[in-house]
Formats: sequence, C-alpha cells, structure tokens
Amino acid sequence: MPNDSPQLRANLIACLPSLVIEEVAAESGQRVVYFGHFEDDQIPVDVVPDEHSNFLHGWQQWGRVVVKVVAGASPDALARLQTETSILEELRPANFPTLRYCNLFVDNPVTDERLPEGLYVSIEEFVISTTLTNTMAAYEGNAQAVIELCLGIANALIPLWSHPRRFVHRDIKPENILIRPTGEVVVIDLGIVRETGRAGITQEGWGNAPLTLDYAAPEQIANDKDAICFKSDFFAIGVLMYRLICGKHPFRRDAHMNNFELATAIESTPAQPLSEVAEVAEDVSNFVDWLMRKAPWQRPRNPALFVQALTELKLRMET
Amino acid sequence: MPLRLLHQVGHNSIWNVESFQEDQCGDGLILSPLHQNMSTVERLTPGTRAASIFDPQFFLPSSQKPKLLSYPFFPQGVDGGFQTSTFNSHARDVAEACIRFQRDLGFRTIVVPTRFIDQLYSDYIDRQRRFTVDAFMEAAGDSPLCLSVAVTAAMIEDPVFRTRLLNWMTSYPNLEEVYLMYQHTRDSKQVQDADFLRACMDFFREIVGSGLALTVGYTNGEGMLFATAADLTFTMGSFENTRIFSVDKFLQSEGERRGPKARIYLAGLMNWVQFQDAQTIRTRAPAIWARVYEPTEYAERALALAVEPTFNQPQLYKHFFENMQAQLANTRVASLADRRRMLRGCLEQAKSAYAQLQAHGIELERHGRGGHIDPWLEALA
Repeated sequence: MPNDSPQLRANLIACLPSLVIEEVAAESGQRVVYFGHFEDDQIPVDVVPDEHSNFLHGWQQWGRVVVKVVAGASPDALARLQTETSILEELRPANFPTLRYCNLFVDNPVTDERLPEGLYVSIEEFVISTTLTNTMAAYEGNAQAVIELCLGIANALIPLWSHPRRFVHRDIKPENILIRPTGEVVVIDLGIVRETGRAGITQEGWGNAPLTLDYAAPEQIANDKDAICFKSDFFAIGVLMYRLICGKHPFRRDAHMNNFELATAIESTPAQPLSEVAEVAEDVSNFVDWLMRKAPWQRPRNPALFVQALTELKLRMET
Repeated sequence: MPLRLLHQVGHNSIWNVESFQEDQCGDGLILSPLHQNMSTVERLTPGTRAASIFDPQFFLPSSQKPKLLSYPFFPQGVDGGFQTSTFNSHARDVAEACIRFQRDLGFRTIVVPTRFIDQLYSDYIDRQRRFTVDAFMEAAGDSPLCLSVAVTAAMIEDPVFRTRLLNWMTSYPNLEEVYLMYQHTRDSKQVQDADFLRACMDFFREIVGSGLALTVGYTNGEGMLFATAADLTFTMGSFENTRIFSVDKFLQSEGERRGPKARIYLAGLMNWVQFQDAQTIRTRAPAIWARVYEPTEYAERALALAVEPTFNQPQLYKHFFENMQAQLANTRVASLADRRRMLRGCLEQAKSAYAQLQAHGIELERHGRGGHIDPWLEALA
C-alpha cells in the first residue's frame, strides 16, 4: 500500500503529465490522497485527443481536484474498487463529489518500465467545504443542529441505501462529512462501500473488516458480512449524534482504552443514555439509543422510517 | 493441425481484422469481448468468424469493463453482479447463452471459459469445474469444444501440477483443443528465462502429443520458439498487453491513458526496438539496418513521416503482422528439427547484429537490446 514519496509522485506524473500535485490531503493504510490541478500547457505532444478519448485535454477547467491513489491491490480488490467508482458513475448522487476520471496504471509510459505496483487512480471534484472534524465543537449541546446535519447525511446516503444492490457506506465519520458554505452536506469516501450480502474482498472473521473503529457497528467489528447493511450506517450516525451532542464518545469510558477494549465495549456494553450526559430531550436520547442497538434488527426497520423519525424530531424541536 | 498463427485481438481490433482480411496475415483471430462489444463481433463477416475463435474471457468475472458487460452472459452482468457464492446457480444459463452465441455466429469452435486462479490450490480443478466447466460441458452436449485456460508460470514449471492439468484437460472426450495462456511476471518485454521456456515447450509438446490441438495465446517473440516444439498455434498482437498476458487488462482503460513510446519490430533482431532507436540504426549503420529490417509498405510509410508515429497508429503493428506472417510461411513447411535449426540460425544472426550495433556505439533502450537471445538459444539447446 502506498505512501507519499518522490517515486510515487514521479510515477503519477509520468502517467498524468499535466497534473500538478499541490499537497497531500490524507494518507491511510489503503491509499494516498492528494490535492492538485491540471495544466493544459503541460500536456506532452504525444498525447493527442481522438474520437475515443480526450485524455488530459481540457482537464484544466476542472480546477482543484482530489487525486486518490491506491497501489498494490490484488485484481479482485481492484475490481471491487472499480465497482465502487462505478457506483458513483451510476448513481451520481447530488451529495457526493463528482467523479472525473479513474483508471489503473501498470506501466510508466516515460521509461516504459512496469511500475513496481499497479496504481489505481481516481480523480474527483474538489468540494469547497469544511470537514465536520473542524466544526464538531459548534454542535455541542445543539441537538437541533445535529438533527439537521444528520438529515443531510441521510439524504446523501439514501441513493446508496435504496439502490437495488443495497449499498452500505460503512465509514460514516466526521472526516468523511463535508459541509459546503451553503450548509449543504456532502459525504465523501466510498472507499469501503459494499453491497449487502456480497462476499467482498476481506477475510471472514473478527478483526478482518475494513472499518474506522470509533464509528463501527458491532456487526462490522465481528465482520458478520450477512448482517452488514444500511443499519450499520445507522449505528455510525447514532455514534456521531451522541458525540456531537455531548462531546463524548458513547463507548470510550476513558481516553486510554485500547482498540480491543473499545471493540469489546461497542459489541457488548450499552452506552450511558444521552439524556444522562447532556441536556437533551428524552425523545432525542431515545432515538440515538435506537440507532446504537447492538443487534441490527433492533435498529430502525428501513431508511424511510429512519428519515421519518429524524424529521419528526426536527419538527418537534422547531415547535 | 499444421503450425498456425492467429491475431490476438486487442484495443483497436479493426487493425487485426484489416490485417487478416486485406493483407492475408494470420489464419484467423482470437476475438476479445474485452475490446469488442457484442455488435462489433456480430458485424464481422461470416468468413472471418469461421476462421476465428471467441474467447468469452471470464478470467476476472467481476470485471467492470463496459464491452465485456455488453455480453449478457458475462458473469458480472448476471443477477446484479458476480458473486462466487451464488454464481453456481446461474452457471447453466450462462453456459447455454454463451454456447448459443458462439454456435449462432459460426466460430471455428466453441470455447469454454475458465477463471484466472493465480495460486496452485489443491482444489484448483474443482474450482474451475464448479465455476463454469461442468455447466459448459453439460450444456454443449457432444459439440467439439476448446478449453480456455490462463495459468501462471509456476503452474507450468511444476511438473506435478502440469500433470494434473494434462489429466484434467484430457478427461473430456469432446474437448478437441486447448487455448492456453500464461502469466509470466517479469521486468522485460521478451521472456528471458530459459528454464521457463523449456518447461513451456515440454508442456506444449505433451498437450499436442496427447491428441489435443493447442493454441498458445498472448505470445511475444517466444511464439517462434514454441513452433519448434510442436505443430501448434501461436499468436501475434498489436499493443503490448496482447503479447503478454496479465489480468490487469481487465481493469485498465486503454484509451484513457498516456501510451508508451512507439516501437517497431525488427525481424533480424527478433525484437521490438524504440522507433527513434530504429531511426538511429537506419541512419548511422545502414548495412546493419538492411540485415535486421524486413521492409513492408507500412513500415516504409512510418519511417517516411516527418514526426515520430505514436503508439496508437496502425502502421507499425501491421508491419509486425506482415513480418510474422512471412516468418510463419517459412517455418510452417519445415520439420520440427529444421525449424530448430532455422531458428538457431536466426538467433545467431541477431546476436551478431546486436554485437555490431554495439561496436558502432549504438546504444539501444533496455527492452530493445538482445537480452532474450542467449536464453532462447539455451532453451533450444
């Protein structure tokens, strides 16, 4: 899996020569994310547009872009990634960034050498926004704003949840929630999205699923693939609501908990009711508790019911 | 079956079709649904289809490539997306539809697809049988069939695994042909591993010796070596990924990437060299050029251009096809022993040409150099 390095950048520029890398946006175990833009006058003369392709030509007008690079993944894993990018293509949800381009590169076209690891590159629209991570404190004690926010998240995810292939985001967390200056919510990172019931690319069993532990549902931790569905996203939204309203994680009893202890708590320890740790209406506390039930079947029955309950809470708080 | 040469169709399949139909290069085509959507294949002339085989290319059944998905029987298009766990319940329907398609279009034979499995699993054959083979065998009835199998180099080099493959392939009475390709991971464009080449030649000799016809797909120059082992069919392709098998091609979008520098095939070097290196040889060492370059109208046109041709123009590939056709015509009529002798002679001449280029101070780019010559001679020894 890749790290930002001069070699990785050189390989990327060889494949996309008009790309100007501005900075590293994120590095994770799975990939490197860059911010950048394209400059048409950097397109080499041998890259000529034809009737099939406008590769690189006119890409300057995209402005700032997000460039995601995954390296060294197996063909099956890459096929899964392509499924995910094709979901973006297929659904084009308004509240997801626009996918501009994606491809797998296996050769360096300048040196004509095989790359040490194939690079799967996707280029997405750069969304002018702030991540929720930077604004979390503003939500503390403001249940009404949190409910508004979660309705925005739900609206972004409904095209996934209600798709015939029953997609699940699986990684709802503050870093993946962007808020535009207009207040509109944008959900990013379909990196670990999966179809409900599909075998997937990870191994079976506890600890093998890709996840962000702080927001993972018990069935994700157990890697119970049959049980992972839109309700896993409900659980993450429940954790998010709890954290935003009271400023504390529902399952982190203290700051020194290790991952195993946290995972065990998520799987088996009920959270202290939100109404006991924050000044919040009982119905809001009950709703959050409903989302964070350990067994998926105990959470809201379907996305429509989830949105309806959130909307009712919102209306009650407004009156 | 005599020695034969097929086009390994890839991106811009029209070049292969034109080369076959207009220049009479090759004995037919191996059609590629990855690069040709269903209507393109259906529009081919009946004569071309009858000389060709259609490989359904189920190697990566979850591939999202749009042209593959234009075939309703491609696994990813079945039941909302491929799943190993549920595909079995659709395998029979897929087999029937795929066989019907091949039969209705009148291809030379019916190809049974398999999955690319890159590990020497103890249940490798079981997996292939469960995936498609049992369903296709059942659906095909008594029709003659061709089994398409992509293996790894390790599978060919391991004599025990090789024997298992042979036993499996020969266990179907109506299987007449095997279409085999190998993923040989290397950092050179030509195979430079004499042991691997020897193992291939042994394996291919065994397959043909068992009574099966054999087509070896995705061959680069080593196809000429294999022709010394048995009367088999080998292939020629335009872009490099039709001359080296890799499952990556089921993930890449070829039209939407920057291509490599243009190369030209020099028959006297038995290799592709960068076009600008070829121009250097032509200018600075015309006597060597005359020995290594087999002129064709296509190459002459490319060499006369004021600007260097790009990798995605057809002339240099059509030149290669004509050179290969000429080499095949000389080889086909010879006995296996004569083929070995002839090829050894060609390799010795190439070796000497490379030495002379070096003596002239002409440095070729790494892949255009003669690193393949000695291993090929060794494999022939």
